[in-house]
Amino acid sequence: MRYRWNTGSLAWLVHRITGVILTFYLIAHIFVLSHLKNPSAYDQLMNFMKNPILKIGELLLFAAVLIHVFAGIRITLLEAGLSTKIQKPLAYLGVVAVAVIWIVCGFFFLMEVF
Amino acid sequence: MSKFYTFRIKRYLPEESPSSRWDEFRIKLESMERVLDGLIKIKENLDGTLTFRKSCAHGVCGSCAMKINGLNRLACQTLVKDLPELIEIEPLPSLPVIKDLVVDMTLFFEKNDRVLPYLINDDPPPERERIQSQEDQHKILESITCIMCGSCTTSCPVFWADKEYLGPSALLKAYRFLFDTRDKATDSRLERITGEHGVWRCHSIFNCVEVCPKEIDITKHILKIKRLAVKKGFKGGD
Repeated sequence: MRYRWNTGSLAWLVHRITGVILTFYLIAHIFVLSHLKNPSAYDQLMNFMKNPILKIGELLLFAAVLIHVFAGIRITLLEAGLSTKIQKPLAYLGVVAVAVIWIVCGFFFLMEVF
Repeated sequence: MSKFYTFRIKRYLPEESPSSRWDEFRIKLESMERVLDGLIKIKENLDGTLTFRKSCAHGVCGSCAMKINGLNRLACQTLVKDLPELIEIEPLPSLPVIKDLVVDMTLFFEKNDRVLPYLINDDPPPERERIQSQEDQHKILESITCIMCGSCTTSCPVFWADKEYLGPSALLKAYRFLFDTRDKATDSRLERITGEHGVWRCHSIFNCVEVCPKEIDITKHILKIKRLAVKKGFKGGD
């Protein structure tokens, strides 16, 4: 079924999708970490994580975290009693905040590697 | 100024096979005419089998709610000049279709009944009516303007996925009585709407607010119910 998207429903959709992604990531994260039994295994993993492709992956994961956080803040503020009249500006503000934080932090993050 | 418009209408004729198809009609309409005028012209001049609901034709009865170019709206309140030349019309989403643009609203009205949509006050009635102050009236004024067209509930993604969900329209009706200072059944009403398929299912998606032909900020009202339920310690009934 086709139905027209609008700011609110898009915000809800990206909130949902990033939430599911982060849930799966968290399970994988805890699974991998709980299987490291000694310092050398840890160092080996850390060396493996320096792979540029994985770094880009981490950057995408960071984007998912940021999107989820700001979508969550928006909904929390609205539920707490902030006027629903500003739900759209809040969403746009969230997009700007995500973009700025991601680009600035991503720049410093990649500087460490390359 | 008149212009030709193409009406692309989703038909559903249960006795034909295949039962559903898209029909196109090309008609000339004045810029100040509405989608409903176009539908009436098609029924009168081009295809008498086209079926749709209409009654007042002035945005009061809520009969002609349908999906026009991907958005639920009243056909009698949508001017053709505000739409592109191709106008795509479908029945309201997610309700069973009876014929063409006519949907079975039973489910929608059942949900309305579930929130006890009437004034409950066991105090002995005064000599005349139960007086309401102007300030108290203003608390519920916006929610009273609902015409129950079903645009909101059928635009809600939560309702698409969970047919048990009360939906924005029924919750707005609940608000209308919860915040009516003359009503005394706050607790039993909250008990009924805080269940698994009740008020907590609203994810503030705002699709209902986008489509309401009476421009009611439905999400605002649902959020107020949520805050009231939290204050009163309602976590979830049945």
